[in-house]
Amino acid sequence: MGEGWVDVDGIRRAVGVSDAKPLARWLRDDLAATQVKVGCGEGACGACTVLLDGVPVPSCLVPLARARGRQVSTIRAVLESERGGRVAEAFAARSALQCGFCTPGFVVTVTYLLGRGLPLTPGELLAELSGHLCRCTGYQQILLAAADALGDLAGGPDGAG
Amino acid sequence: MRSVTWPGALMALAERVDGRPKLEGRALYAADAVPRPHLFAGVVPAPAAPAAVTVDPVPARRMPGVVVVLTPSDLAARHRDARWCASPHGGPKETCMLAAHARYAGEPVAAVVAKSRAELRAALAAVGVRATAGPQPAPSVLTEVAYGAELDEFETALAACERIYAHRYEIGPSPFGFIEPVAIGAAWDGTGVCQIWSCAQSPALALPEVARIIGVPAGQVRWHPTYVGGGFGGKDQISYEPLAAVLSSACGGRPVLLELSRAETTGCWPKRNPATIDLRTGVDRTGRILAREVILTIDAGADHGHSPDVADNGAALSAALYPAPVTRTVGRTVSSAVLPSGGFRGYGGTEALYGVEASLDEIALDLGIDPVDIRLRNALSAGGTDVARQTAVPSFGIAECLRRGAETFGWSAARSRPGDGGRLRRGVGVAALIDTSSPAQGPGRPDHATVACRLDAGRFVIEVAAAEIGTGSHTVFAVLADRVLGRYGLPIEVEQADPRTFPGDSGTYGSRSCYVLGNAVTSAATALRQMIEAQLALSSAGEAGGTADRPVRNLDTLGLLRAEGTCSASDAGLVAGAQFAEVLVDTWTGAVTVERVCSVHDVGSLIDRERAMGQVFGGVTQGIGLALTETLFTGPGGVPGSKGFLDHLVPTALDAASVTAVFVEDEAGGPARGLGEAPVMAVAPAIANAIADAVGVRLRALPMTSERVLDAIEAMDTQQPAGGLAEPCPAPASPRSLSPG
Repeated sequence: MGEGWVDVDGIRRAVGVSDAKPLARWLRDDLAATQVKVGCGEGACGACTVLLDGVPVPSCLVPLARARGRQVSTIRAVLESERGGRVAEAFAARSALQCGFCTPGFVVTVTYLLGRGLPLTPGELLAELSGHLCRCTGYQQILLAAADALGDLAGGPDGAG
Repeated sequence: MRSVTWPGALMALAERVDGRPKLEGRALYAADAVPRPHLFAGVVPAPAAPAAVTVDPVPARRMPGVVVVLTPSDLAARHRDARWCASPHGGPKETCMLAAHARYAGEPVAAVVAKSRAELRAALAAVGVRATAGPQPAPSVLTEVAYGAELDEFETALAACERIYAHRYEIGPSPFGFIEPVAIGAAWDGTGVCQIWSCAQSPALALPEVARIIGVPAGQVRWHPTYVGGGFGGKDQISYEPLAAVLSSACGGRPVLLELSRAETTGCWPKRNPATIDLRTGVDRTGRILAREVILTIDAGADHGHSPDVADNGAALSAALYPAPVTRTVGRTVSSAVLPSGGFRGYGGTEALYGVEASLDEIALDLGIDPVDIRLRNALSAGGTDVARQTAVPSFGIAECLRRGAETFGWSAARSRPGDGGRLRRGVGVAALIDTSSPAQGPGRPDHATVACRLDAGRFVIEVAAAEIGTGSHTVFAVLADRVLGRYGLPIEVEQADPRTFPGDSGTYGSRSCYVLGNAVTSAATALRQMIEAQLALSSAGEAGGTADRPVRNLDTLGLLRAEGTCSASDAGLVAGAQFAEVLVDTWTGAVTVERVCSVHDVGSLIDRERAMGQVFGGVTQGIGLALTETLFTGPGGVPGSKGFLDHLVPTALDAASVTAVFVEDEAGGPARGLGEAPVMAVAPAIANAIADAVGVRLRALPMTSERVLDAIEAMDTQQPAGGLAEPCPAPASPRSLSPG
């Protein structure tokens, strides 16, 4: 089995090229990256979302080998960015969390949306976040926090939605 | 658990004390806190039940990476024979570590420990299990409690009523749906101390029971406090802690993490309570209730667990809400050879109120009375008596909740808006609710809590044994302590203490945090302030000029001070509320969209608006799931068949309604009451009533899926009832047949 690497939050980690282990399990079990929460392991809840080369993915569905040679950013790296910090501030200010298990995943995705820079109608924002399940908050404060963080990007009219 | 800092009096109250650790992924849940490297454990579920199970561990033992495979016969006799206790928090009674005779499909019959997750999964699949299910036993009544009038008194009163209604409502089984999967860790250290990491909601209640089962003194169990990733009553009992401890012991004490997959968490873990609610109600023409009977029947599954208490609480709450001259309620549990039921948020109240509030709506429509008015006419009011517990009710703002809600929601205008008869039909519904703030059952059965506050190195630390399960309870404690100690300008931290520090405290459940623990925090903070003031008086007496106006500097010299505070609640702290919902029903597909909800709660005194709103938004959204989509999928004979969140449809951001939270406070300045469970209650009947308003059909079973709504609409169109679950409304002219359904 050949060797490769995955960049996790700025550190290169060696991996086997054909390792089919889910990225989320590798992060948690092998690297003790417990900031990545796994709620379902079947791509349905979004809690384990990380950025893979800057794009949010449910890390429970990504075979480790597919991340080879790529950059994985967990909530830890995301929060070191200015945008991530802005999103976290908005979530804290809006009290947009309760049990907190789904929270890092939401912050990763909203930070991605902020960096992407495309304007979002309220309906589009709902759709973007609908891949993240939250059982506690009812989403209302999360949506407010996301809108706060996105600022002008979230100010668009809700056309069809 | 790391204690967390709240910035203290000089800062705004905007942030939760646990906000930053959770946002940053630093908050440790059970599976995060188990020391790495650890071994991986899993359980083999019984494939059928009731059945004697034969387990062949040999193939699994030969698999790579396997450390231990345990069957019931591998357990030491004392572990094999140990049974969980009768306390609901002690887990479903008669539960054992590994079952040789499975009482329900999904019950653990073998356990495996392996070096890696992949090796564990392969080994679990290799364990040979044979079970031939015997016949399903006929449901039998396990427990029954009754409140209010005797049956014959009720029958006489009912027969004398001008109008009589009988209704039956049903609630199907459903998973709890907390996002953190079930995870239990265990390890033994060199001194014979068993260490536990668990997602359980009530560590202080669970610890002694775990110690008893594994056979060590409670002092030799160290329960590491961790965050809980959502509970909603579903983690309110011990579960695999004893098994994890035994597995770790079999592996030389190495840390073992027993983690259920999402499908196992959904299909093999206690479910929400399926229920049947039978009601008979006698009224006069003005809608005054003269005689009422509510029979709540909870399907406990194969095991008692919380169900007897759930049925009891549901019966007690439904008795108290409408104290008719003759009121009789019954809470009953029946057994069946399927997955045990837990105690879902609302603890029987959620289930009972679905029937009570939907039935009352049917009666109001039949009599031509506004649904708000019929509730105002019949509901319990302050100064009344709790029919169930026979205690005086000093405060109960149901009328204020209904009036404020109707005003905020725009009830009258929304109700009188004419429909256009098109594909999309709009409707509104209301339902009232009642809940408790504490499991206290009167002076003889109080609910007790002890906490401590300490001044420690320039900060205040609140020590509580109760877990922060997400409700914001620890933030509420910081706010309450700040009211007493904020004058000193020091940071306030909340620390989840070792449960042995406060053995009397039962944990986080039953909406008790504000009412019981909150008052204990105020008491501890007050005692600490008195200690501080006494010390300051002494030191300023000794110092020329004194420093009473500069207390912050003074506290630096005080050293460690610690005060405990207690609260013993003797009454249940009844809370009132009302839910108003507006739905849009697609008559072509049966799809129901909940457009907006106005959720009104009499909280006594509002401590922390932001966190209170969070409870309301979240509870209402759970109520929408309960009402419309959530179901536990099983195969024949109750064999676990769910694929987790792929078929347990919890509301997403797209399903959440626009929720307005309204809080009613006690003008007399009464204590803060509970808000943990109330927001989920009466959401389902408000939606059911709104659907009836929109399309003129009455659904009598939850969840009200698109399929059921469409069936009901089509059945109305052809004037044929659909499977007993729905019928055209308003109800036929009374008196109706007294046979339910």
